[in-house]
Amino acid sequence: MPGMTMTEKILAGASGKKIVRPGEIVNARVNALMMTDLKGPYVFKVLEEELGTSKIRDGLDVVFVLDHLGPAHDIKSAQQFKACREAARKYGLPHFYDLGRQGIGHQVMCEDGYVFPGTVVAGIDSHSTTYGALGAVSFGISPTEGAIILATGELWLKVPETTRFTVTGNLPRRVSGKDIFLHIIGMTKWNGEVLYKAVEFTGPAISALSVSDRMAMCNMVAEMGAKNGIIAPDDKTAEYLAGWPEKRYDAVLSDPDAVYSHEYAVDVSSLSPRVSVPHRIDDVRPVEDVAGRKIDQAFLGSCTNGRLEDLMIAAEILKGRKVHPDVRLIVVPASRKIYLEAVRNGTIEILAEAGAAVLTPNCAACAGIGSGNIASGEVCISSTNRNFEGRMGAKDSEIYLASPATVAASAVEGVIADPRKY
Amino acid sequence: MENIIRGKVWKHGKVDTADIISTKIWLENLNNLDPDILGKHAMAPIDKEFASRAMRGDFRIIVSGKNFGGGGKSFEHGVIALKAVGIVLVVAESFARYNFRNSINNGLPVLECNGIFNAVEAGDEIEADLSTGVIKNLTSGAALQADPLPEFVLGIMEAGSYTAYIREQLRQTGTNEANCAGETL
Repeated sequence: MPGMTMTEKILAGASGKKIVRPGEIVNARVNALMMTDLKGPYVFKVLEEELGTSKIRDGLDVVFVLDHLGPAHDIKSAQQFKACREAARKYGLPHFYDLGRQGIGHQVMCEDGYVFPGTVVAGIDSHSTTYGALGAVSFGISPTEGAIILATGELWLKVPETTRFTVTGNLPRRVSGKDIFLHIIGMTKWNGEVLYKAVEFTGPAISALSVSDRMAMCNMVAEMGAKNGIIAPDDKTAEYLAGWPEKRYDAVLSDPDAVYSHEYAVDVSSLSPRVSVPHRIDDVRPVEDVAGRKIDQAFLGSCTNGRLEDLMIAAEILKGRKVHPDVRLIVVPASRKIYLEAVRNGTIEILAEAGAAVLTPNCAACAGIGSGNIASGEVCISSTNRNFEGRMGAKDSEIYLASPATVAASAVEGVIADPRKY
Repeated sequence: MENIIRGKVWKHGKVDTADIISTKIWLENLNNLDPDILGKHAMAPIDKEFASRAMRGDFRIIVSGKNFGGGGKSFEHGVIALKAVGIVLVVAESFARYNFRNSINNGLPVLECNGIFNAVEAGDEIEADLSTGVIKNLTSGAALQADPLPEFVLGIMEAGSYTAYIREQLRQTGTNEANCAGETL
């Protein structure tokens, strides 16, 4: 009997089985559920009207975060926030994150102790794959499925096959987890072999990555059409979760003889910064090939790359320099905790001195429904995860995806720039 | 609902979400999942005769290749359209994630079966046992093994949807009483 991958083992445990195999459908216990301002009120409507209940299952962490619409910028978003607050009050939700106390939902899930190795966590948002960076099985679901989790604490799941990327080599200076991911998706292409599969990142280069960079990588597996992304928990994971010493968890690891549907070996020792060019995420070029392209806006934030070390790398590059006069640099810390730490350690001061517009934590322009959208014909270099046509504003605008370092270097030069110079 | 489904086959190698129901029709009916409207347009982008033939009873099972319902859209219009014209089962080499979940959640059985595409021709009659995953081609005599559907998924098919199934479970276990912690607004 062959071994199991960590995704298979976690789903077996969650469904009360010793062994599961890819293709098998299981009814799994879900430990935590994340929902946002976009679908929250609708989820409770389904719970009440379609499931005929208003009882939330005991033992389920329900995390409700107002992140997508930013501080209300029109009457419609104000009404939506009002509906969210009313639902949160009606259900007495203990983990409701309102403006000024919140962050982007995915960041809150990881940094506030709702995600632990070996658990199953769902979110009503496609980038819920982020939590796999802490060794959990996590994925995006529909609002209806969210309501079912609220009522039962369970969800049916198909056990996915796992594709493994073994990443080796010392990552060069100013090259990040984001660059590794962009390199990988450029190599495999969207709609490739990982559709509906688990993507497991492993190898010495992954062990060497910070939890923050691991989160960026697992965040973006959604862009490959994968079900979940996952990285084995290690000492860095334990350190990241040290704030919850009372929380007992099992560090579930893949068996040495686990079966993978595909295996890729990726050497990053000579990797240069990568840029995903409009309008396809898998259209990825080395920064050298697109350097010099004029930009109008640089965006640093999102659940992909709005964490403290992302802001600090940008500050390193921007210290003593100014944002190019023809460019706006928008910086959005991914959570209140990150914002506070960046204020305390001087990062925000450096960024603001350089001419960055710093916003309160939220999704902002990433999905084109918050602040910082771009106009017709404009070009934005962004640390976010999607560059679909018109995603951040006008249909004929362009989005280049890159690492925080590349975004910062480009903000300085006014054109797409190689951060290794700085 | 019976766990054994028998019927004639409509076959197509590559079916994306936008083939099951066109983007135009989906957008026109964004918040309106009316089976009568959607059914008329089922598979129209790749087979204009599909809806009329299905309703006439020419076939009731779809056999397809890899990544059935691919294209990354989460909307449920396609599943509603297929059910509306009498499709009772989709068997494919593999399914896109959203399509697989939407089908089961809306009570349309789906079986993932390696080798099905080459083992069945359009017009063949097949018999599938959802609970064992055994698929027989009654026309050619070939037999294949698909991933079976577990009992609770069969329960979802019986109830007609995931929400109807859960609603009934909650009713039976008596855990559906209201206990909102806060005041009602």
